[in-house]
Parts: sequence; C-alpha cells; structure tokens
Amino acid sequence: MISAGIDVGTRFVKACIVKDGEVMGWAGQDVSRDIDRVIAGVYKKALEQAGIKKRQVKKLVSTGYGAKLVKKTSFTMSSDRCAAKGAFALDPTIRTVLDCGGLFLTVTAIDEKGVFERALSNDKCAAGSGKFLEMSAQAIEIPFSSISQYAELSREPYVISSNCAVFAESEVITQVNHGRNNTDIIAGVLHSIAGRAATLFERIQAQDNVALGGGLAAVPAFADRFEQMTERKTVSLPMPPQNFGAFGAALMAQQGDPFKEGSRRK
Amino acid sequence: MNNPSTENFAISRAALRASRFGAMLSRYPRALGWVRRLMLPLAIQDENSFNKHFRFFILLAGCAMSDPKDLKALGILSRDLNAYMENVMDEASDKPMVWSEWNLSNEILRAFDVRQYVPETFAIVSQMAGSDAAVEMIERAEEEGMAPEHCSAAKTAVGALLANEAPKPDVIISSSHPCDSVASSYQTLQYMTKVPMFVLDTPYWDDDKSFKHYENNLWDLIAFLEKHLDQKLDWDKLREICANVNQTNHYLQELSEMSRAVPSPTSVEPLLLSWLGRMAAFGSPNGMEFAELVHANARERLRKKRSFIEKEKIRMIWYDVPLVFAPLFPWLEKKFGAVVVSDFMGRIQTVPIDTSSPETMVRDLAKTHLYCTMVRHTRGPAEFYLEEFKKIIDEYSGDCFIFMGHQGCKGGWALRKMFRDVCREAGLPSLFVSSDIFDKRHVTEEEVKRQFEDFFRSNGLA
Repeated sequence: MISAGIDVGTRFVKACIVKDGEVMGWAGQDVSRDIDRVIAGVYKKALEQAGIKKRQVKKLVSTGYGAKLVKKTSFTMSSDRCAAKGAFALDPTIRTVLDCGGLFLTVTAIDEKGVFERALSNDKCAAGSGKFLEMSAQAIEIPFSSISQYAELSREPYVISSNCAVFAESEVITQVNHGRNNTDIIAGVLHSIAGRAATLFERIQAQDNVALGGGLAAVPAFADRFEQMTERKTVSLPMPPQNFGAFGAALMAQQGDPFKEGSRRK
Repeated sequence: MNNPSTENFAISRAALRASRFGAMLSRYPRALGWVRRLMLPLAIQDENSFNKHFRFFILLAGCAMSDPKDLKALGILSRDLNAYMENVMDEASDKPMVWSEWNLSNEILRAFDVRQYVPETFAIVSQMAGSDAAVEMIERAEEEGMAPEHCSAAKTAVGALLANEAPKPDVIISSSHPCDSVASSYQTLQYMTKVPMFVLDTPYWDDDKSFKHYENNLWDLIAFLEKHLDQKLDWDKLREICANVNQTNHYLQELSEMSRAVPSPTSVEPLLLSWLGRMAAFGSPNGMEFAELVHANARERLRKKRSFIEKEKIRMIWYDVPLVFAPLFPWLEKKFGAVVVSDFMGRIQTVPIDTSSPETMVRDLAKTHLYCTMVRHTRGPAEFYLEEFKKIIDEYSGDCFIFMGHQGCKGGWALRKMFRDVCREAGLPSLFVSSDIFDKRHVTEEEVKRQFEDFFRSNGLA
C-alpha cells in the first residue's frame, strides 16, 4: 500500500510518500502566503521523487499546525503522535522524541511498543522555538546555515533574560547596539532554547533513547547544548529530522484494520 | 442566604419540561426514535446558543440507544424521574424533606413517608438548561467561599441552594464516602441549612467486622429518622422495596454480564440511566420494569447475535463515563462504531437481600450499600479498583481503556499510574483525558473529540 503524509508546520511544509513502511520520496518547502500552492507543490515534488502518480496513493494523512489546510486528507493527526511514530519506525529503541519546530517545542514519550504515552509542549510563547533563532540570526546578520559555526566561536555566551520572543528580539538588538559580539549573542539564543527544551525533557521524565526532530535538530550547536544540559546522548536517525512528522503521518495512514489479525477479541 | 430575586426552581422546571417531553414521546417509541434521528446531527455538534437547550435531551433520549423497545423502557424510567422532580419542587407538600447524598442507596428512606432530594443530581439536571447553568452554580458556590479544588458536583449542590433551586430540608443524610470533597461539602450544606444531619461511617475493608459496623450504622440511621421525622419505618413497605431491588439488581447484573459478548447486545448506557434513576426509581415498580425490559431486549439481541449499536467496531472500557459529555456517545458511535462495554459507574456487582425479617434486611442492605457503584471502589485501598479492572480486561474483550478523569476526584487521579501499568501489562491501549464531569470550562468538547480521534487512529483502532 502506498500512502502519503503531509506535515504543515509553522515554517515549513513537508511531504513524505511511503510504500509498505519504506520511504519512496519526500520534499519540503518554506511556508509562504499562498499556502494551498505550497502544499500542492510539496506534494507534487514528493510524488515526482517517488516516481508515482497521485492516484496511486491510497491514503493521505495530514499533521502539523496547519493540518486542516490540506485538502482531501483522510484524517488529521496531532504532530506529537506523528513525530513519535516516525522516529520509532526508524529506530525501535527510541523512547523519547523532542520535536523542535518553528513555533513549538514538543517532547513525546513512547513505550517499548511504540505506543504514545504522553506529550508536553511549550505553550503559546515562541521564545523557545526555531522561529526565535531565525529572527535572532537575522537581527545579527548571521546566515541560518552558519549558526553552529558562529556559536562555536563564542567565548562568553550572552544570557537572554526575556521569556517572550518579541522582547527577546529587542534585547538582542540592544546588545548589538551595545557592541556585543554576535557569536556570543547567537550562542546565548541557542542556550536559551536548549534550556527550554531541557526543562520540558525533565518534566516528562524522559527515558533513553532520545531522538531529536524538527528543523532545530539540524543545527548541530543546538543538539550539542541540549545534550550537555540533559547529560544524554541523542540518537541520529537515517532521515532528516524535519521529516519525522510527515513520515509518521504516512505510516499512520498505512495502519490496517486492527481486528483482522492480532485482535484482542475472544 | 437565598437570593430572593431568583425564581424558585427556574432551572429545575425547565429540566422537568424537557423530561416530560421525553416521557411523552417515549409512549411512541418509533416517534422518539425519529426525533432522536433528526436531532442527533445538531445534538452531537459542539454546544452553541442554538442547540444548548435541547442538546442534553439526547441523554434522556437514551444516548446511543436506537432500539425502539429500549426507548419504551426509558419512558417507564422517566415517569419516576419526573415524579422525583415534581416532589422536589412541591413546596405545598407537608411531607418532610430529606436530603440524601448521591452515593447512598435510599431503600430505607423510601420506607418512610417523605420527599427526598439528592443535592448532587442538580449537577446533571442543570445541564438541561445548557452547560452554562452548572457553571453558574459552581461560580456561585465559589463566590460564597467554597474552594475551587472541591468536586464540581459538590459545588453545584451548594450553588443550587444559593440559587433557590433546592428545597428546604428537614433532615440531611450523608456519609464518609466517596471522598473528602463530598463529605466536607455536606458539612457546608448543614452549616447553611441548620438542620439535623446523620453521617454514615463507611468502613475501609470488605470483611464481616466492616459489614457489621455498617449494619449498626443503618440501625442508628433508622432510629435517627424515626426520631426526627416523627414516623415509624414501614417494614412491610421496606420488604416490598427490597424484593424489587433484588429483582432489579438481578436484571442489571445480567445486563452487565451480557456486554461480554461480541458484538455487545447492550452498552453501559441503560446501566448508567438506571444509576441516574436510582435516586428516584430504585426499588420502585417502574425501576424494576425498566430493568426487566432493557434486560429482555438485550437478551433478544444476544440470541440473534445483534449489536447494541449499528456497527460495532471498537469496544471501550471506561473508568468513569461522564454523563455531562452524553452527546459524545452518539458521536463515538456514529464516527467510529465505538461502544462502551464496561465502566465502573454503571457496572452492577451486588448481593441479594434476604427479606425474611427486619434483621436480615438491614444486614443485607448494609452489604448492598457497600457494593454500590463508587462505594465499593472508593472506600478502600486501590486494589478494590484494580482487581475489578483486571477482571473487566480479562472478560470484556475491550479494545481500549478510556480514563476521563474528573478534576475534583483526587482519589481517581491517584490511580492514574496504576491503571496505566495494568493496561501496559495487558497490552491494552489507554487514553487519559483531563476533564471535569460537570464543569465545561476545564476542557472543551472539541478538544476531547480531538484526543479521541488521535487516540483511535494512532492505535490503529480507526
């Protein structure tokens, strides 16, 4: 069976095509004003990469902040469950998934069978998110792809005191005007986000092994700081971390009738 | 203390009108079936200003019940429910008014010539005027100084007294179970009403000494009532009531057992309705007739291997079915083919009452009281819950376990991890939802539905 998962995040839209649990193709693109076109474009690219036609897809499941924007979806599913499903399918030793997206940090606990147990998320505020890192990098004119290199050069990371992304951005600009080194500022921002992630991580009483998902996971300096703070090693999985959600959604679509086999019924 | 500007029993009268309408329709079960069918799409939507006044009617119309024969049974039960509400509002009556806590079984009280009122049931009755009504009562109680941490049912009971929705009591009967919240709320009610109160002391364990202790409590209760009501207990009437209770329990206990069949010929809904009707109809001829009829209907479906709902796909075991989320059940049935096969609230597990003498009746009434829903679980250690839960998992072929926790129920929340561990051991998917049975402010119905959808789908149940 071929299925598709589309993850409409706050910063990126990702699509994944799966056949019998194996990835056939995937694509991702920035969110822009014409969201319908972005979703359609990403889906089309993923289908092209998989080398199949849309009609061959039996089921489409959407997830993420804008899951309901996807047309003709079989059903929508929360992103924490999808990210956990995707990560567990890639590595069945995973028990905790930290999904660091554009606007939300979510930590999800799963059991040894991959069953969702509970999830915690940073409510409302974007201060602990990828968007905050992006805004700060723009303010101090550092390319997003070079954040890790800049952070590594920091000698004295600046401690961000604001909890709100808007105030924190003002604070960053103030520090730039005071002549603070931009390497210290970006290291401070990473430290602040990793601290929030670590707090959620502690609250859920996370078990090993741990996988990092979402766009922030692709920033090595963030992963390093998170590992230092929590004194845990994260497991790297054979898929770009932004794609766990879309992959998990496609896997959700593949779940068959549970009563055909393995039924609990007597 | 009461607010003179508020019309007495305004909400209760609206609820009675809805209930009478339901009872009238149930004389024509097919017509009621059609009304349900027409109203269902509107009722299972989230509450809005248009549907809020009739949405809860779906509960009175039997939740997911669709068999006209069951709807007829419901009409029989609602006669007693209506009579109960009429009695509560009958301010001209010269019969003494006794308030009785909802976890108590009221056979003894019914053998006196009194009117009775169960304060916590107002939390359910008020939902007929929209879920705002219960919230208003809760807020009134909180404004008067009740702690927000109290159970919302207890707060609604106090709020009803403040809002002139409760009759003036002559006597109050309370107990030390199911929780500190309810027990302490009765101290508040007694403080506000200044009438004599009798508190039954519920034992912790299930042994002869505990049963004897409770039996002695019941003798003290009889003496207390005879003194304060200036009446003698009518033992012949009590014998008749106990005989009806035995028969009713027999039917309902068998009904609980019938849910073990796949597909289930019944659900917990008739059991829950009988639990709701217990305050008014338990031990009455109508209550017995209701139980007999729903039992016969389920037996017929069992014989024909027909399911209670149209197409059973998911068999749910619930911790505690929230009556206020009644419109959730038709939605679960329609969208997922999900049926509740067992829960702790509706499940009947009791012993027969020996009616040969007053002594045997009081002795066995003590046992039946201690085996009542909630009482048999909440008065002792966690094992009382867990052992029953393991038995349910083993016998009812459930596909999942749903724990919709109630905010005021600290004891219930304390069990969360233990329930989760039992489910994990049994390989049973479990969903834990933080909610409040009577206070809609805690979690929206939309959010609850979202959690159900995610749960069913991520576990491959839908």
